[in-house]
Amino acid sequence: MTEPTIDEGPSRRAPAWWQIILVGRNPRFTGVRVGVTVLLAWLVFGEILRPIRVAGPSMEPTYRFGQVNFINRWSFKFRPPSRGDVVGVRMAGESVIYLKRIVALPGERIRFRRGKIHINDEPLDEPYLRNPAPWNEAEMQLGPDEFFIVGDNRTMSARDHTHGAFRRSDLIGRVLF
Amino acid sequence: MAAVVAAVGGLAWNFRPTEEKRIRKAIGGLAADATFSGREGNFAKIAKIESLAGRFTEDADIRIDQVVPIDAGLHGRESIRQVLGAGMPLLGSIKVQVHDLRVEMLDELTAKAVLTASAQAGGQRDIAAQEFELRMVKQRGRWLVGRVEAILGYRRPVIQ
Repeated sequence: MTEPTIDEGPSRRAPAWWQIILVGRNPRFTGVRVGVTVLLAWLVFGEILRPIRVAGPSMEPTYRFGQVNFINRWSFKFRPPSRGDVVGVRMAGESVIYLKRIVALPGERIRFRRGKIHINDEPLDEPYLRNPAPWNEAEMQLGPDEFFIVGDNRTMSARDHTHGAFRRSDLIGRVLF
Repeated sequence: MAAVVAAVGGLAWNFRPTEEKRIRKAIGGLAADATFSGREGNFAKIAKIESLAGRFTEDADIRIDQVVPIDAGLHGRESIRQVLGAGMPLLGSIKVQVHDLRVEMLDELTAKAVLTASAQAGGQRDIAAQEFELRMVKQRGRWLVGRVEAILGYRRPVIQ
């Protein structure tokens, strides 16, 4: 009479140390993790968030020179641009982006009178402003697809400060922080 | 063997000189010539100004009155040279960069280039950026700038 034996199958060898360093103990799981990480990074930083570094004084004191931030390119998918939003505005491409604040919406009339913004003849409350210079500008009627954007730093001359009516398609998204 | 030949052929095709690449190189040279470190001597500055002016055609037309208060614009290489000669020494240093360059060949000898140029003067934190459309013209085997037009992609209010 023979004793029963238990078949343990092929013996499992422990992976070599270099294999653990390169692909982990479970290469298939490591591959899936790397794939998911790459996909997430591409989705977040390639499609949704656009990293920016503030390079200019026009949004001071809200955003200072050298600060790093992100533009959320999907932000307008869920809520249209609105007054008070700080948004990224592009030029020819997306390498140079203006960071400005939306102060007037499509169809509105806007003018600067002694440094104060008037929308449809009503003064706009802007608590983020510090010591604005007395800008005076002619009234501008915005078109159905135009947003008026301007920086928070109005201590500088109006001529040196890029501001005006931009098309909706030029607005990339809201600033994240 | 066939795979190696195909790979080498693919690389050679990818890196072959095309007119678009030559235009990109010419515009890159334009930005490099417009960049001054502030440490150049007078002769080096004059050489750079000559090189920069030489990148424009004899009858080059510069239209930047939309963004800079120059009523008549600039016409011809000579007037560009004079303006550069008068203006550049006043700037301590300036760094000019080209971004988002798009080139469209119109025919074998002309092309349109749209770009954003940024400039930062030495000691200044502010960066000036402006979108331009350039008409590039091939003359004697060299791509030169025939026309520069500033593009104002938005409506500016009238300052009173």
